[in-house]
Amino acid sequence: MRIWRQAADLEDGALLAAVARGDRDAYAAFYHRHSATVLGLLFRILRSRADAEDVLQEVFLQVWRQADQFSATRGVPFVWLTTLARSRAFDRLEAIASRQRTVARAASAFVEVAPDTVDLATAAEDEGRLRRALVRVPDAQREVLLLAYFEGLSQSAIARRLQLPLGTVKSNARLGLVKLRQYIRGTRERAGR
Amino acid sequence: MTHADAHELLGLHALGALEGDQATALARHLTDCAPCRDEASELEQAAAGLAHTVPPLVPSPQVTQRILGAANADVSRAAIRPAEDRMRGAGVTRRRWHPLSLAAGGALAAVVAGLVVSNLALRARLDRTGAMIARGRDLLEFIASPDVRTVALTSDRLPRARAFVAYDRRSERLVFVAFDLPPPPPGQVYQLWAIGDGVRPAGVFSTDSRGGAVLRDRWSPEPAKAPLFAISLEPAPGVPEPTGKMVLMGGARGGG
Repeated sequence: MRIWRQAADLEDGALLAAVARGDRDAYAAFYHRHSATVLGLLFRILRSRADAEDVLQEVFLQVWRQADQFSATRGVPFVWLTTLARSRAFDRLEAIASRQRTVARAASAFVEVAPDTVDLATAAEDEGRLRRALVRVPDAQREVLLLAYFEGLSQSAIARRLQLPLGTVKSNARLGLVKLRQYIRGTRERAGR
Repeated sequence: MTHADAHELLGLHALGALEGDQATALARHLTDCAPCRDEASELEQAAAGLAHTVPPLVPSPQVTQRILGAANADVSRAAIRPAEDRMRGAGVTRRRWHPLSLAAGGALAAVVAGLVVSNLALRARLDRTGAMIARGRDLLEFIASPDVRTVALTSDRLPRARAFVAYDRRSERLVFVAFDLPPPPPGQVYQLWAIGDGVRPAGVFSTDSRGGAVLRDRWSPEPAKAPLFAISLEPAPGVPEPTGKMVLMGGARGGG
């Protein structure tokens, strides 16, 4: 039986509330639920499995230490988790760039790593669904979303990269996300969620 | 910043792509404008969906062990499991979580809820302090309860260090507390062992800045005999069987 995304968020909230009270079982459950998605995201940003795994550890240690602060905000746990992960990953990228290793990394930028053969059913299902939603977003908008989300570029950096006015970047970012949200809902409803 | 200007910026905000002054101005607008806050939250969730568009990668067992072990060794969050959470019966390894069972979070949760409207930083600090007091009280109550046995761990090697294990066969809880332990050498952790019919790992830990450590574990019931406890130095994140030298040791007297 499929689980509603909202239900999953509620359950994540309950797990984090338990983590905030120092519950290690809840912490392990939260980790097993999201670690593969977060590691995939970190690998996409960092292009290095070793760096991605280091940052994964930093992110989950932060979850362990700050779950009590998060619980009080009543935000969406997955949004919090991925925001933490991206922020740490971009910090790491800066550190790497400052060590002037960017050239070597660019060469290995497109090495695909096969996921390990563990139960990836849920993550794969989400991946397929979200990919289908993303390809329906118009190219110009999708490009802005990807540069901002995975490359960590700011509005002006995106404008320079794409040679577009700032205003166009701004409206493409918003319209792209609005469409993505609409398509995600569409695929969820069709899937009976 | 007008409402219309702010609304236009919500996409960049959700993607974390806003810069300097605009980010500050939007943050100010969001504190006052509920519709924009709702829209921002919706767009943030859509943006977070992008994380699902890349292939997931399962961390290796070593990485998982390292990450879960790091939390175990993190004494800043060491806590005692509340009484209602105790494991009952042998062989139960994982509890199921249900949101309703978590609703009964007790007085601390009520205090936290009451503080939601107040200043964020102050609230976070109060939150942490409240949790710390609750944990400390739980620890004292556990150690003082009549069914609990305590075992002191000592060593000639570390004459200043003081440590004890408190355990309760009935509720299956075990707590280890140490003071004045030197920090473990780089790449190593302290590991606690419960020695009865066999040798069982009972958790790894490091020390805080003052040489203190608190560790909690489940006590696996064994035939009524006096257990021994020992601490060894092991390579991080811990090992299944002791390999390093024992730095502290102690045993229960009589029927354990």
